[in-house]
Amino acid sequence: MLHVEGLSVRYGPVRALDDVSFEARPGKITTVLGANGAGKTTLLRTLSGLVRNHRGTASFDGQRITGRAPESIARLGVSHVPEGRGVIAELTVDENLRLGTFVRVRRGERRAVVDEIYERFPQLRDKRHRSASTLSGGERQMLVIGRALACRPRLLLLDEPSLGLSPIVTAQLMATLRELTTGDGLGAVLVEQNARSALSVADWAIVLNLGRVVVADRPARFAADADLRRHYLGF
Amino acid sequence: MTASPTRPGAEAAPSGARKRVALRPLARRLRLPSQPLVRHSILFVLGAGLFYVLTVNVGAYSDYQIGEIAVYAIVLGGLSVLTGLNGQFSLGHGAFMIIGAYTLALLQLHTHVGLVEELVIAAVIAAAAGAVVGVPAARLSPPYLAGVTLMLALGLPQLSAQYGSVFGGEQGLTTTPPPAPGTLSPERWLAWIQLFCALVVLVLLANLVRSRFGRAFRAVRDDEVAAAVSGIHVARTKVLAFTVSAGCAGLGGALLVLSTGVVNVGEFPLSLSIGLLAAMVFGGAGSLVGVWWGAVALVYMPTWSTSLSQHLSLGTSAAAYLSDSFFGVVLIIAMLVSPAGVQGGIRRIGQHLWRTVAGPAFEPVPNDPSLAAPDGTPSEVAGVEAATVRMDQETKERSRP
Repeated sequence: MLHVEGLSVRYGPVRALDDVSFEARPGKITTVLGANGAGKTTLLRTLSGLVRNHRGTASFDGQRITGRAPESIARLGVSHVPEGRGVIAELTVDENLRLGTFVRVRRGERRAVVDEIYERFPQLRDKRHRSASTLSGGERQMLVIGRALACRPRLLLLDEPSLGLSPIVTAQLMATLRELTTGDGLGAVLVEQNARSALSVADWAIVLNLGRVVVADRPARFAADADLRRHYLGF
Repeated sequence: MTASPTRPGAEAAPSGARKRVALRPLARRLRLPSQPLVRHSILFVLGAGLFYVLTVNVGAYSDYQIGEIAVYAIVLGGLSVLTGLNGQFSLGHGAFMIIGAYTLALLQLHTHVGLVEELVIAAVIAAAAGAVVGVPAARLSPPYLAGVTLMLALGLPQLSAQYGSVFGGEQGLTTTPPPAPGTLSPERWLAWIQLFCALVVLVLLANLVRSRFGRAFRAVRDDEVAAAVSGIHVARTKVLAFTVSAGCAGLGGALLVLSTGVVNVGEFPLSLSIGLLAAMVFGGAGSLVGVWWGAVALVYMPTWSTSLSQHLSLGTSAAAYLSDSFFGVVLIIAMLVSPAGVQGGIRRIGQHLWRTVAGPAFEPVPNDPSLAAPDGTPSEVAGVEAATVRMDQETKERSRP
């Protein structure tokens, strides 16, 4: 599905990503872990076209996505859920969701897609005519994920969805994510600081350190290897 | 605004509650329908009726001024969409007015096309110029964009001096207003044309605002990254907003010089461009009803400041300065009293009255979205939608068995 090969990104003289390679598969959650400044957000921003890479390639279903504009990557079915709950605060909940349906959903089906999202997040339905600025943190996160799902994506790129959420809401969010990614359907790349909850749902984990992939393994390995956890994840 | 999750006192007084119940059905019936096309058509007809009554009851000079107000309403409408909805700034809208004005004058001079064609071509040429400016503008952040558009407003008038043989140099070109039918005074006929154009343009803009393009405009204004990853072409959206806005300014410029009978760059000084921006904020950025307040201010403020300076018996030079600073002072006061502009203030008062008369139409909405965007910027659109929401919910409540 997503194939990243030798990806390097530079911010001036700083190497944000250095020769990163990994794969994301349909129906699987690949989590990207690492400390602050390890390059996790940069990785996602590069994959969604917001940052230009310096070397290497990323391809989605055989189509090269590095060098493409963000909206054209979104059109392919890669939905980026930006960090910090990027809702369009001035639009209503409903409008935010409808915004997501513009690119990949046919006119007649848009209403149905939005209704599907309300099925999944009933709280959003109750507040659908409120401006997104009035939502709580957890609701905003639901809305952003909802908007990303409204694109009918094939791959979700999630940037720290648990940031600032309570443990219960985080757990619910992870469970939802797990429900969404099954079979050979939606795949996800999950960037997280909260390694414990990310590992609890992920199928594959990579750890970034100073822009390099230092570990790539099954989540079970982290459970088994205390040294590894202490060294890179701090618990 | 003082919306709170619970409205203390709303249910407290039993007599007040009874009164509200009696008034509510009537008050609800007075609300505009939510369907945009129907809603805007009704506003169009109401506006046309109002202006008809207004124009037939005043003298020729007032007709001229009303026409001028209509023209500025068009220009401000375009600017309001650009700044209020899309978050881009332009200090150079006078330049697009110049383009529209000269296009009309040149068409009248060299061709024999009808008035409608002249106006359409003027708007299209200005819109094309807007697209050309919009492409680089889409890459600039607001302060730099203000600089670029300012240069446009400063630089473009120099062309008329440079190519005097085409543009008539300092003297400019003359225009002929359309002949009035029957016994109608030419001023009144022209005012009607200008008012008609203004209403049509504002209805079109209002529909645009409610369309998916309008949502894209606001999304881009609010969060470019979120808009881009939702699949919106950010740069194209910005260029579109600029094009629409410049087209409105071009049409306004063309209509304006029909009244004045002459086109020269002196008609469109830099202060006009800045005045337009100030008037737009004064009326309420993003509000298509507010543009009328801004337009009234643009037309009448010089008159008022002149009479004020006569009243204070100031010298001529002091009077000239007063005229310039008067608008600034009014704008500052307006922003202190109502940061959402005149229209925002009116809406606020209206909502307050509405609540006292009709009571909460449905479950009270904490932090009513009609108030304003979280950053305190006014939003006509949010207000319209809040009203729509209330109506939608009412309809559902009523249709429930």
